[in-house]
Amino acid sequence: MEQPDLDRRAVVTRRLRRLACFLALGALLLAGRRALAPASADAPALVVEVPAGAGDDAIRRAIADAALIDEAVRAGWPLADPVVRHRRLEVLHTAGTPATGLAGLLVSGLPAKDPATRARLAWIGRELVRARVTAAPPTAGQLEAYRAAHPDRYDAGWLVVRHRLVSRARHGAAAEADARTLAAHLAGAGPDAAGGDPTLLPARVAGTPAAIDARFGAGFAAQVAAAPAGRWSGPYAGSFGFHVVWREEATAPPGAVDARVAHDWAHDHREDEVRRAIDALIRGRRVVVREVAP
Amino acid sequence: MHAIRRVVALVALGTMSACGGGDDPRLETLGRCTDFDPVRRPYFGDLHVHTSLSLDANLKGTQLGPVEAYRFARGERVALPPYDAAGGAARSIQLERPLDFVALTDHAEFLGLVVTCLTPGSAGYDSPNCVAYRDNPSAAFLGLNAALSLGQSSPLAPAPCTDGGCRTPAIDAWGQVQAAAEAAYDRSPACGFTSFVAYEWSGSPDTRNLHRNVIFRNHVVPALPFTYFDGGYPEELWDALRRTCDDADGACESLTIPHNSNLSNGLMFDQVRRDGTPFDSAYARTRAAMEPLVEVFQHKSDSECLPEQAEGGDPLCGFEKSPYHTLASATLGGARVPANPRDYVRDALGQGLLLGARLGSNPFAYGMIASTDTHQGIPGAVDEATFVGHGGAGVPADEWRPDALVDLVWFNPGGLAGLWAEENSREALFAAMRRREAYGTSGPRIALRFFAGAYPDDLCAQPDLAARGYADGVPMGGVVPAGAAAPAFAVWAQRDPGTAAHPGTPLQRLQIVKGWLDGTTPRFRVFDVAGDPASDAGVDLATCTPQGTGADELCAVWRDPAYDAAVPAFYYARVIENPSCRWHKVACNAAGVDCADPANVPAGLAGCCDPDMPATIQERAWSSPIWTGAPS
Repeated sequence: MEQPDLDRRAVVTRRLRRLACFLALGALLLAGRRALAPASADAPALVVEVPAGAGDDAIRRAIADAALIDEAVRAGWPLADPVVRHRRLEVLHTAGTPATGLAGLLVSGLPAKDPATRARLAWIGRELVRARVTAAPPTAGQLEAYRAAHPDRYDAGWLVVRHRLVSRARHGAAAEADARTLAAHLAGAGPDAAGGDPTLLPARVAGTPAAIDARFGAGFAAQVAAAPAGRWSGPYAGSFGFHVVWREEATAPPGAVDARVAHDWAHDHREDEVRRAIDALIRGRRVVVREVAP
Repeated sequence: MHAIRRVVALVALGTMSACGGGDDPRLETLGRCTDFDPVRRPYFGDLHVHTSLSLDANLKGTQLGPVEAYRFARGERVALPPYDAAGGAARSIQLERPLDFVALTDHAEFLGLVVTCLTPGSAGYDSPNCVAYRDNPSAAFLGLNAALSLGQSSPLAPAPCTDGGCRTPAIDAWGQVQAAAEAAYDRSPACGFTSFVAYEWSGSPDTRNLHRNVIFRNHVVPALPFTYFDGGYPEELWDALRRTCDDADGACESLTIPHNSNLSNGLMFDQVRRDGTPFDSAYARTRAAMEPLVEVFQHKSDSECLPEQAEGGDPLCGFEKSPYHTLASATLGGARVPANPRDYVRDALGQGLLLGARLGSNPFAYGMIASTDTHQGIPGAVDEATFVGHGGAGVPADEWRPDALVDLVWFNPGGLAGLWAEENSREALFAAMRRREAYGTSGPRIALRFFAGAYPDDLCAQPDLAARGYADGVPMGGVVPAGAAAPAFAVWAQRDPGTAAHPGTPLQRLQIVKGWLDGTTPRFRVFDVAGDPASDAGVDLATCTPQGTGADELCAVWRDPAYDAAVPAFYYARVIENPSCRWHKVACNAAGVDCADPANVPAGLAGCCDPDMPATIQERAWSSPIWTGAPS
């Protein structure tokens, strides 16, 4: 009569054991899934510590650095990079006995705490991202937009100017009056008319306002740009005296900057791509920002 | 994979370049620029510039690369070290006036090492030298540069670059140099800016400086720079350039420009060949052909002359002198030493007359230019009032502090090269260098013309001075033909037009420096030919405000009363500005330093009270010489 009870207990025990195994296996699978999943709402957070009261820019930089460090850590650079290895030994020595230091490192994590190591790993992470980035060739529209965005660099203006100088060194206080006399003399004459003093300045120049100011003195190009085209006018003050000027109607030669725009676009765009790639790194992680005492 | 593709493409490009010529649309002829001047005009630039590709710049915090350096030269603002943890720059700088031309001359020797040590995963990245490079830059700076101080027969590239170990990354870096130059060069008819592909050969046996900048005429260049580790003697450099460039098929052409003879302790203008025998005619011809110019002034001091190198003395030679005469002492400091008179260009020009008479060709027939030798990637940053330091052997770029001088007090902002050319193109500017129609300035954009020929005494009043200068004589860098009548020397200078913030300083005087052979002894004499040597112009040292009068321009036609057509001689012009504050005086005034109260002078500003450093300087320009009575 006791045999059925024994059988029942064995069945219950077996079922409980199976349940325990099922739960343990489930727990293991869940833990494993969490451990292996690259990014999800359940992923371990990338904790970024920032000083209390830090501004938005500082927080953004701290997040980017943390993502880059994480990237370098995932790629194994804390063990592979000799600088980090060297730094770890330094920290071990300064942390006390090797055993204590090792325990401290294991608990706190060197990359998380040591500023030198963090800077190093962030730099490696950035280089890893940079190496992966490839920029597609620009379209004509992109180049045009880029050029329009940098007017000071590419569209500096263009002037073509002939001039006759009345030198302050040779005419002293009478220079401006003598220049007015010269202007009156040249009125109605052609662009090759003679007059003025010998000078080391070129008789005719074509260039950007900056290039013309570099030879004639600050502010000269702005005066000349407003001069009437196709006749003598002035005088206009320059660094060496007063100039009577013939401004030619002219526009900048075509094609002046096309190759340079393309090169500059590629150079800058690569940096843009690096920034975008870092943004993607951040999006792939669950970031938790934690304020700490400064 | 991308790196491999890039290397293959660069090798292919280099091969195509070396074999190029013919229909290459990038080869130019003179006259492509809208702004073309048949009587030529001065263009200002910097032919000696280091960027982050140079080991000694990179190790000291310079982050501006070739692209950024060209942008700076063209007028853009750039950030300077030190940088904070977030990459923010402590300083920035912008030229008040863009330059006309630039050659970036990164050190050839370590191009591959720099790239290797900074590229994670590269072969050699984990080598001890690369670890030291990243972990202890100061020690690496000394250790790696020590490799350059080995004897000329034994220079050895340090690991991981021994036996060509860094060839691939060196090709990568050389490709960056060429690409940046190509992008910066204005090939349109506007001709707004000219770049030259270039590098520096950095030979320095026993730390005695033999450095040369190598400038290429156009984009057709050798596959790799020739380094001190490839050959320790200048003649090996010239042989290599002839083999891979000048004598090769195609359009490649090069010239070399030595610099800092003042730090060579007699070696730069030594007169023996590789095997220790005296120069022969072939050597003299080669050197004269390959090396038409010398850099007379730069960040690491002046190399023109010493005050005793002229009859009756030449006190104006006491200008921006280095207290050291080797690279090691200049870098490490220590006790100051007397200058070696053989290190100075004036002496070399005199020795050249003697060698020319003996050998039939003058190996030291040098024209003159100046440049910065900046190691911060900021070409043309020569203004005394806004000097930010040039790094390199001076104060490292990333060690700047607001309570210290920006550089060691005996360094200076460097100078500019002036080239007389028809237009701002590689073709025109390279030709100007080749014919030595070139001059140097200690920073200001002084215009300086110098001719020798059959001129009337009233040439300065003639509106066509330049045209007659060429028609009836030779310009600076030229040789008065044998048998010509005693020449008149026409010299004309115009002060720097200045900027809104920094008006140009007036000129004080114009001089002609003569060197000639007295038997077998070179002699020198300086003549004041225009201006006022006794001028009372000065500076209010409390405010650095200039005082007194000077000239906008000076012009003279001068005849040598002792001219003898049978005596080999050279003549060069030197134009001197009124006094102005030296850079350190401007900085010391701004910091309120009182040298009468030394206990309260901060350590970083101790240079303010250095008794060897004058508070004022007289900026200047040096023309290339004109030779008479001598083969050249």
